[in-house]
This record gives sequence, C-alpha cells and structure tokens, in this order.
Amino acid sequence: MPTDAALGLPGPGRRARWLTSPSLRPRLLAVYHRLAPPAYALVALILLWYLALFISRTPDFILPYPDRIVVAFFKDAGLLYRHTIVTLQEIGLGLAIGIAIGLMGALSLVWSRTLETAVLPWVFLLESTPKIVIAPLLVIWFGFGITTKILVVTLLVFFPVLVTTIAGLKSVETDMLDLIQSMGASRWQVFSKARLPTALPSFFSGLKLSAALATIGAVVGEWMGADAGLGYLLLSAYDSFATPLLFAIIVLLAMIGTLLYQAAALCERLMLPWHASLRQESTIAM
Amino acid sequence: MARAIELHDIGMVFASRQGSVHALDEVSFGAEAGEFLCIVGPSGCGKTTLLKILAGLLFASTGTVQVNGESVRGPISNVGMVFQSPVLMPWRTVLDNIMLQVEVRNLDRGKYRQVALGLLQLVGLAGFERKYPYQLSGGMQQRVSICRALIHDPALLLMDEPFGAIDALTREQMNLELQRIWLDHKKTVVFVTHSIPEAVFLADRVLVMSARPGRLLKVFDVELPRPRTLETMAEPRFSRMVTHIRREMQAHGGLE
Amino acid sequence: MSLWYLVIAMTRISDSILPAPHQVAFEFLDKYALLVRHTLITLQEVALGLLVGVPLGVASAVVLVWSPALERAIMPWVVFLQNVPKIVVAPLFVIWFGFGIGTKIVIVCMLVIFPILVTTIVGLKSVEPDMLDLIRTMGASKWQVFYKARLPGALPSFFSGLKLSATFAAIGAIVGEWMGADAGLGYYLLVAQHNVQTKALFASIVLVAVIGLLLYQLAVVSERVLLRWHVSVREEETRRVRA
Repeated sequence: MPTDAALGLPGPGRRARWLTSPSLRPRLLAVYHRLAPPAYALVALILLWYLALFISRTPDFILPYPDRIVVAFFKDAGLLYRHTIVTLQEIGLGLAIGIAIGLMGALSLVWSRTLETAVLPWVFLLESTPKIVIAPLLVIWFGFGITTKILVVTLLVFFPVLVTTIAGLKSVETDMLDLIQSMGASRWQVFSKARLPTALPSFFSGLKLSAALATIGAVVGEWMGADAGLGYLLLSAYDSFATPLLFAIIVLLAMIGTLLYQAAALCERLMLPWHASLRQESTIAM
Repeated sequence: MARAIELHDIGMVFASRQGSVHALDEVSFGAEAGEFLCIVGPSGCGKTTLLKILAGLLFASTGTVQVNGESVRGPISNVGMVFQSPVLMPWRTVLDNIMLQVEVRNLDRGKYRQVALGLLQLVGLAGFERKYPYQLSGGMQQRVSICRALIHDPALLLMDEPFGAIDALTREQMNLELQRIWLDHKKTVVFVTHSIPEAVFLADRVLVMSARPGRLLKVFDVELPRPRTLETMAEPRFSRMVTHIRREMQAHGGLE
Repeated sequence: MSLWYLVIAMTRISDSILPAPHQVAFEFLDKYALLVRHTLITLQEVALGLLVGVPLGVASAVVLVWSPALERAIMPWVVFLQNVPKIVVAPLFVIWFGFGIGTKIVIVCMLVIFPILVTTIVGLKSVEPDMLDLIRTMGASKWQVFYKARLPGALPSFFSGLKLSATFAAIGAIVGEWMGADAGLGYYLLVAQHNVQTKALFASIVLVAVIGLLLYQLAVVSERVLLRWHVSVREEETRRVRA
C-alpha cells in the first residue's frame, strides 16, 4: 500500500486545504484507475465461476458456489476461530525462535572467520534443498504435540533470515569500512555503526520471505499429525468432503499469510524509511 | 533545397501528478546539411526532450519539426542516436551490437559487416569485435555506440551528452575523434552537452538554452578553423568564446 | 560428522531415533532397488510439473507484458498471490484430480508458475528506456523490439525464477505425495515414519535433498552456459578463479 506521502497527499494538519485542492479529482481518478481493473477481473472471475457451475451442474463437494463459501465462513466461525488461534500460536512461536536463531547464526558466522569458512558453504548448500521433508523426522523425535509444528516453522523461517542477514552484513562497501576505521572505530563500533544498519534492508527482505513461509510450515506440520489447527481442520474438511469449509480455510490461510507478510513489510517501512526499495515498491504498488 | 532540420516554435508541456511541467517554450532553430550544432544549457532545461522531439520519439505540444523537408510524425529512421550511457546489449559482442542496426533494418549483413569492421578501425577498436561490452572501458563502449549510430550512414546524428559519463582525459580524446569522424563523413550533428568548452570545441554553432521552461537564449557562431586541436583550447579566441557563453547563461540565471 | 557419532556414543540413543551415518549408508545399499523406484516416480512428477509449469509461466508473462489492460487487471492479483501460502490448496486438487500422478503434476505446476511468471515479467520490463528509443529509431517492429531487446534482457531475471522453482518443484511433488499416493519418495517418507524406520527415513530425506540440489544445480548450469555475458555469472567465475 502506498503511503500518503507517496501519493503526494499532504499531512492531516492541512487536510482542509487538501479537500478543497483543485488537484484532488485527478488523484482520486488515479486511485480509481489503479483499483478498477483488478476489481473488474475479480467480478469477472466470480461471474464465470457461477456461470460454469450453473451450466455444468458440478456437485457442491467438487466446487461450491462462492456464496456457499461465505456461508461456511460464518456458520463455522467458532470452529475456525479456535483452530486459527492454535495455528497462529505455532506460527508466532516458530517465527520468534527461527528469527532469533537465524540472526544469532548470522552474527556469529560473520564475526568468526573460521566458523564462516567451515559452515557457510553448508548453509548455501542446504538453502536450496527442500527443507520441509524433515517434518516426518521431527514427528518421530518430538511427537504429535505443538513442539513439532513450532520446529517445522522454525526450520523454514531460519534459513531465509540467516542467509539474507549474512549477505547484508557482508554488503558494506570497503570504502565505508576504511572511512570508519580512519575515525579510529573499535570493532564493535564498526559493527554497530556500519555493518548492522547496512544489513537491515537485506534482513527485512529475508523477514518478509519468512513471514510467507511460516504459514506453510505450520500447516504442513499439522498435516504430519495433529488434533487442532487450520492444517488439521483442512484435512478433516477434505476427508469429509466439506468443500465449502475447505475453501473457507484456504481463504483464511491466505489472509493469515498476507497479513504476516504485510506486517513484516510495515516493520520494514517504519524502520527503514530511508531505504530506496521502499520508495520503489510504493511506486510499483501504484 | 530544404534545410537538414528545421524546428519552428516548439513548445512542450508534460502532465504529471504534481501538475503540468512546462519543459520547452518557443524554441526555433534549423541546421544546414553537414552542420555541427551544439546545444548547451543547465540541467533540466529540456535539452534531451528537444532531441527526442527531433527524433520523432516525442511529440511537441506546439510547433512543427521538419527533417530534410519532411514533417516528423513518428520516429524518424534516417538518423543515428548516441545516449549518455552506451546502451549496448550485454549479451551481444561488440560487432553484433553494431550489427543490431543492420539486422533491424534488414540490410545486407555480409556487406555491412565490412562497414562495421571499418568503423571499428576508425575509432581505434580494431581487434575488439569479438569482445563483450563488459570487457571494454566506458570510453570504448561509447565508441562502439557511435559506430552503431554511423553504420547505416544516416544523414543526421543526434547525440545526447554522449561523453558526460567519461573521465576528463578520455573525453578530450573522444572529442578529437568525433571531430575527425565528422570531418570524414560530414553529417548533420545535433550534440547536447552541458560542458561549454566541449560545445565550443566541437560546434559550428552553439545554441544556448535557459533553465525551465527551456528557451533558446542565443546562438553563437564558432569561427575557429578546423581541424581544431588540443592547442586550440589554449587559444585566447577559444577562452573568450567560452567566457562569453558562460556570461550569457549566468545573466539568465542558468548557472548557480 | 564426528559430533554425530559422539552424540550417539554418549547418549546410547536407540537407532530408531537417530541412526549412525554408516547405518544410513547401509540402508542405501540394502534398499537400493526400492529407493530407485520411488525416486524415479518423484522425479517424473517433478519433471512433468516443470515441463508444463515453466512454459505456462513464461507464456503468461509474455501475455501480461504484451497487453497493458490485462496487466493492470491481473498483475495486482499475481503480486497478492505471490506471498500467499499456495501449497494449502493441495487437498483441493486431490478432490478434483484424484490420487494419481496428475494431482502431483498440478501441484508442482502451481508452485512453479508464480516465481517464473513474476521474474519473467520483471525481466521483460527491465529494458532501458534509451534502448527502446534507440531501437525505435531503427524502425523496429513490435515483434523485433520483443525478441531482440526484451526477450534476451529478461533471461537473467527468468533464471533467478527458474532456480527458485527448481526447489519449489521438489517440495510440490513431496507434499503432493503426502496428500495421498502409493509410490514416490514422499509416500516412502510417510511409510517410514509410520513404521518408525528411521534409517529409511534418513535415507529418503537425503535423497530428496539431493534431488532438490541437483535440480537447482541444473538451473545454475544452464544459466551459466546461456548467460556468460551476465554480471552474476561473471562474478561467480572470477570468484572461482581467485579461490
């Protein structure tokens, strides 16, 4: 979402003038031109959906009418709420642990040269493997409780944070390091004043990726065996051919994933208002 | 006989989110065939816009453009363009980059291959035809893009601050080379720069523009004999001319 | 590795929890034929999914870049869906397409399309405006602009998407098999888990990791061969020369 500033809107203090501003109309028009096409596309999709179902008379358990999904949402609201809380818990704890370990791992790898040369090649190697396959093993080790799910989330979240933070910490220009050393900076000062701030943009890109992956981790963890959570509910809806509920859960999970991603993006925007990628992104979002 | 280029009363207004921007106002000038024109002016005075209007890549809000007596209604093709960055395709070799012009125009590849090699020789890049752009220095890359602009033997050469990103020493060298190529080929050249000495060194006439909205302030005829050399730049006539142009720009708030 | 042995020696842990590395190695030799059979099935799903998904992703990218109207209508949804956990749709595909190989291919396809689509669009739009101006003064047709400037310029970005989708493809096939299958490494993983055959579990995890890595390396190698001119490839080569 573009900020007010990116839209060129003045702050709240000058709202009155903004309202009477003669250039308000073109701005609203621009917003309309941006939002209208995707909205039409959605409407077209839904109409097509109804039309296809109406003509083909596909049974409900294969593809329900969109309104049936909305109904399922409200009818099973209590159920959905209970399981959402469980999944959110897994995601939250997994994210917290994964980010913490990822950050610490990155810091220690960059701090120690021996550790870096010994471990970094393995990190890069493992980065491109499908890590989710360890989930069944975690079940054997930690059982069907919440620990396993948290660990699956941790596993998925940890790598992007680790890799992007390392990349960020190492991205300081040599000139910048020379400059700060010429000021007589201690090793700690070099780190806190040059390396750490430089690493933040890269770290946040990893964080956004992790936010998107965390939901997948929790759901797949629950698929390995669980008695609560949206992943579990998804499978039981599937087992009982409750397809409208299945759709409702998928939509809910999509919303959770998006919210997490947007939360990470918001943190980024608040902490890095100076970073160029933000300005760029807001223009793409236009 | 029509003039090589003729711009009449060109005005340009861009619509933007912040309102409209008046980029050019009542710009008129022309050039005879084989003439070397330099346009100088402060940053943002619409020099690049003017060049693009001339090439038919942009349409002026008001006024008319003619090239060789014909009105410009779309991108003109009897033209070679050189930009500030070399705009080479990194996946093509030096020779293939020059040959792009030939391929797109569907010209005889065998014949123009020889022309390309000849041009490379002319700019001192013989033997580099199989190299990739990244293996060349900035100055060498810009030479390649000049070859690409010349290979189809266009009547008109449009250059938009072509040496702006090149170090001072190489830049002098490039100016000498460009003059030599121009003396050989006698093309009409419109050359945009914000270096006054460069303009005086290269041009038959220097067009001075004002800050936004860009207006044509004054036209100076440079009557220094050719070929001009590095020694020319040390002559009093040269520095008088440069000072003169600089005063003119300062008088109109063009320079800070 | 020695840490691994040390832990086992010290804790006297049962090999049903953590087998020693040599036990995993023996497992490979023991169950050689079985593992190969399941691996081949998973590879088939991955390959077919990639074969369908990658061209589909590229084609959609071309269509979206070609038509500004479509791009304005659909691109916001693509951007939105990009960060949505798509794998959760897997059970739905099982309802639609059953337990056969088709479902797995569709899942792989779905995971693969997005990175390819997004990176190819970014690539196709990455041409410098000056380059477009230049090629227009050469009198280029829309088609010439496309295949002489846009398409080759899109390759680096496309390959970064391809590398991403190589890993995604392996994940898609495994998760697809978890949804219900009677063969493939994902199926074998679950069977091993149910019977607490940890050695077999380790062996299949290693196999899946190797498949993922090989796919990724395949993408890297094809990138290196095709994009010798690109910065990322060149830097990698200079790094290797130095090392």
